[in-house]
Amino acid sequence: MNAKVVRRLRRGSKIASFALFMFLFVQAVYLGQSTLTSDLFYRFDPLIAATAMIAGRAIIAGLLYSLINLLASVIFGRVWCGWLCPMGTMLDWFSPRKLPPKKQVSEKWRTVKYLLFVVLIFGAVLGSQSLVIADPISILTRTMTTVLWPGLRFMVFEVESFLYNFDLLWPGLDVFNAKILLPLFQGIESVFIAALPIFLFFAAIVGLNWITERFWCRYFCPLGGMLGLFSRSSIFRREVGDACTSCELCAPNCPTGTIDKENNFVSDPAECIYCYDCAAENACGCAPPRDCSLVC
Amino acid sequence: MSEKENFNRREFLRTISIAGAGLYLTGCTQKQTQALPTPISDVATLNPNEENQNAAGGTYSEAEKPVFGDVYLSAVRGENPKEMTRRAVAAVGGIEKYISNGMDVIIKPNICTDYYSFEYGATTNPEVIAVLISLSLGAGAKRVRVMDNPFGGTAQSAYRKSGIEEAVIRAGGEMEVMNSNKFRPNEIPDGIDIKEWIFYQDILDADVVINVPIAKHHSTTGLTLGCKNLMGTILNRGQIHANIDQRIADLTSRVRPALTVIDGIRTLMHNGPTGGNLNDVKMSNTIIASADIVAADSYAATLFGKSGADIGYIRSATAMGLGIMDLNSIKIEELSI
Repeated sequence: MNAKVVRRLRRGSKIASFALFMFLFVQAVYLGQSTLTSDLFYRFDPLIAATAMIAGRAIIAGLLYSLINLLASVIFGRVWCGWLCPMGTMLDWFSPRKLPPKKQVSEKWRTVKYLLFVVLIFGAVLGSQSLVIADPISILTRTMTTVLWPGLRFMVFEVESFLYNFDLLWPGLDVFNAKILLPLFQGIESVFIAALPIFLFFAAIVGLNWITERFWCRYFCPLGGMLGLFSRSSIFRREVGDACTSCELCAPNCPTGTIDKENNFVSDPAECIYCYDCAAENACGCAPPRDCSLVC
Repeated sequence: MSEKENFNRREFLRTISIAGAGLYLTGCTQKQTQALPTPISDVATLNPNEENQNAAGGTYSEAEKPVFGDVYLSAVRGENPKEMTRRAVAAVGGIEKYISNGMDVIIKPNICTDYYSFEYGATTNPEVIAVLISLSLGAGAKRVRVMDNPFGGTAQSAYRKSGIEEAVIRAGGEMEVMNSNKFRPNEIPDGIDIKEWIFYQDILDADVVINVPIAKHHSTTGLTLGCKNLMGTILNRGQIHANIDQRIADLTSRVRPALTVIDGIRTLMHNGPTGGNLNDVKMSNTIIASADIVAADSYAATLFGKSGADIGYIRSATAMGLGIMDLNSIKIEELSI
């Protein structure tokens, strides 16, 4: 498959997934009026499923959708991270375009996410799900609810208030208010006491992007760690073929920084998020790759 | 401008527009019903609803034909709220006396909380409002909006819970959530205690305001009827409670609804204005209509075994010359259907 096509598909997938996340989020306010269940993303999250079932000592049927995610990881690697995770999408959007010269972060940091995953499971074995606050779906939902959506609402309504000073605009503003603002934001002005610490936690994760791209996904995300473990022997993987001319253009393009310059530009399948950035036009200098396993 | 930066800006704009379109579509899916009858009509009496046909001598039999009277106040007793409302309005001159072609009409019911449905006698009967909408549109109103500013729950949930939103949309009206941005300070030239307050500008600017309160007990003023219902048109309601009787009269002097139709189908006899106990609700099965808000309130007080003079704000309003409290001095038509 053409790398250009795949990259476009990926962009579409990220947007669609995030749009779905936001749709479910807004629908949740209506409680029961939505056709799709609001906790859909949680149901596909194997970390949530594992900790919930272990801590609860029960099989929870609704969470078994996450097996699909694990299956996808076994086949394709960490596609969830690269194509579907709404937190990953947010991190891609809130990322500096021109990074300062790459600070070298030791590869040893990658084990932190595996460690965190083990600690979460251990906590679950002991009956506690408290550490699931580190799960990316949990982080994004919590932050969206208490910080981002109310913040957006505040800004939009402030602009609306300003515009309402002009009587001529009232008919148009009334329509905008009734058709768009009220359905999305309801008449509720939410101010959450814990909004500040929740925001700081999220901002810290986003801020890490300024050290290196997708810092959270590479080094800290426990879900990434779990999926990474399942991706170690993925069926589809990036492999470097004989055509490689060592042009060194792929390595700096990799968002998870897993392409090893010292080791013939191979990548760790547990870290690769299948983004195809390495095969982009301005990246790989070789002849275009011919099949899904991205032979370079 | 490097090529990469241009590309990113394009990507950003594309993402934002897709996200914006997605949000808009989400907003669109919140429509309550699919095909809504459009109330906007340039031609008078083009609205093909029941009321209009009947007014033109359509489907009523001779015996049923509504009598268009010209009394000061009408009180209709019966079992059918819709029919009672039609008769009550007809008896005080018919809707055309108050509404003419192209008018912007606002109906102000009582939707005080989102706690209970209308059977609890705390919010206005949806059928009464629906009939008033049909009548108004039949008379050629450009649009009919229904609104209130609840003190319990959000406007949207209160509109739904009371059953009023559904009835309004079916009748061809619009529910409007009272946007805080549309409240403006306005002078009360005839005010005795207060000379200025913050009112919902659209209500003051509307061509016709039809006041449709529900008659119920009130812990502070004794009863809440027509004048008290106008408290839904203002902000800073806490401050109104100081010297409340005179201040309600002052508010009434500024809003001056053209027509007051009091819903006395279910009267909340105790624990108003919120209610919550069906045992407190009495089926009084009465609809009162009058252009005089004070007279309507005075008559409604009799449903509770009181007289207008027993209620502080009715006395204050009478003293200001806003209406007639003495029921013996006005022409009243009492109907039983």
